[in-house]
Amino acid sequence: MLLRESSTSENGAAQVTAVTSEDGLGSGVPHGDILTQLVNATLGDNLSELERARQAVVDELGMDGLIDAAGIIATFTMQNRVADATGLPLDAPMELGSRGFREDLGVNQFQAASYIKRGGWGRALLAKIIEPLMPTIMRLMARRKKPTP
Amino acid sequence: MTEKIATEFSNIYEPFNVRQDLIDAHEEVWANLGRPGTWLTAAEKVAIAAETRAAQDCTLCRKRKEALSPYAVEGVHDSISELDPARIDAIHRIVTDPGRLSRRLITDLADQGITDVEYVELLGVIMMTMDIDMFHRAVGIPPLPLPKPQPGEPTRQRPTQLSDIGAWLPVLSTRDPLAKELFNNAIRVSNVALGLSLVPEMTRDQVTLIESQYVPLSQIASTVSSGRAITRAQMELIASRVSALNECFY
Repeated sequence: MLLRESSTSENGAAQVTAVTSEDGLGSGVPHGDILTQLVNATLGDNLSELERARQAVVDELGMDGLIDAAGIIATFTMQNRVADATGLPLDAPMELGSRGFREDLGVNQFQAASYIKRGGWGRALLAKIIEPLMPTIMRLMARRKKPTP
Repeated sequence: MTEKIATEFSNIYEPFNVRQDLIDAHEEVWANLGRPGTWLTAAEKVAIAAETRAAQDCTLCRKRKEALSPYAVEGVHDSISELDPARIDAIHRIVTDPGRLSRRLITDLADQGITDVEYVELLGVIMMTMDIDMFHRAVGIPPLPLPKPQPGEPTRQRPTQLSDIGAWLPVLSTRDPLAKELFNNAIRVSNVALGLSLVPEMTRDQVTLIESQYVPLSQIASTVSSGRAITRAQMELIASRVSALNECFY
């Protein structure tokens, strides 16, 4: 969802469903394919592919780009497992506001999706109302200021 | 942090021109791996970190990953530590097959006398090890030697204000003053940031890594770029692809 909103605010909506495709390519995000190839190779086991993917990122986005990309790969390697190993539910607004989107992405096929408590028709109706409003809700949330300690 | 660790990270990261805040974060988290924790000794933590690395080449885990059910294949893990079999099995499952974990993992550990807080600290140690190793792999730095375990006893302090957010384990209540400190007074704390909070010291390391490698907690809901070398859309693309490959629903 953050991918959809951030790409919309930067240069036009990304083809979000690309991320769950076989190779993950074709998102439309600038330099997206070389970054996706870096992810594929880092999580894979072909070292020469990893070497090539790294060099492509350095050539296109510089060493700083590689460092920041590596930081995101590391962060989500950690965050995915924290969520999966503790059975964390999606935050309620995100769960309600992303039902159709998750279906489009195909992530409802993942085993962890079966742990979601979807609720009855009331929640389904609420989800129908909230989902179209999610981009606006996220923009408003982003504008809220951090309180002074 | 120890002087030795600081020198190691600065020297290793120098050719890659790594940001200072990232060097500081990795030094701090790596040094903490070698210190006594809340429920585990430093030696236990370092053994868990070593086992985390060993799991990635485990033959049994490879067979299980190919099986229709994660509990269908019996066998012995390719282990390198003296940890008990229950902990070894949990580490290997979390490392190699995260998308098919279930509550059974925690109940099986509880049957062996391993408490919820011990599980969360074990998970936290796996996470910190995998995070920094994965960063090094992506950049092209060989895995660092694990820190030398420091002497001392675990503090054994369980938070008192807990809440049930529907996860398999309780988490720290966001009303607890400790939560405000841990999450830098963020207005809203997402569930994933609370995952390790039954052991607040693990959350402290988790937040240190998130804020230096991704974005500050207060900016997660924002969709604008945050002064990194790649745009926010590029960051989210990477995050989404990692999650898809890990079959992470979250």
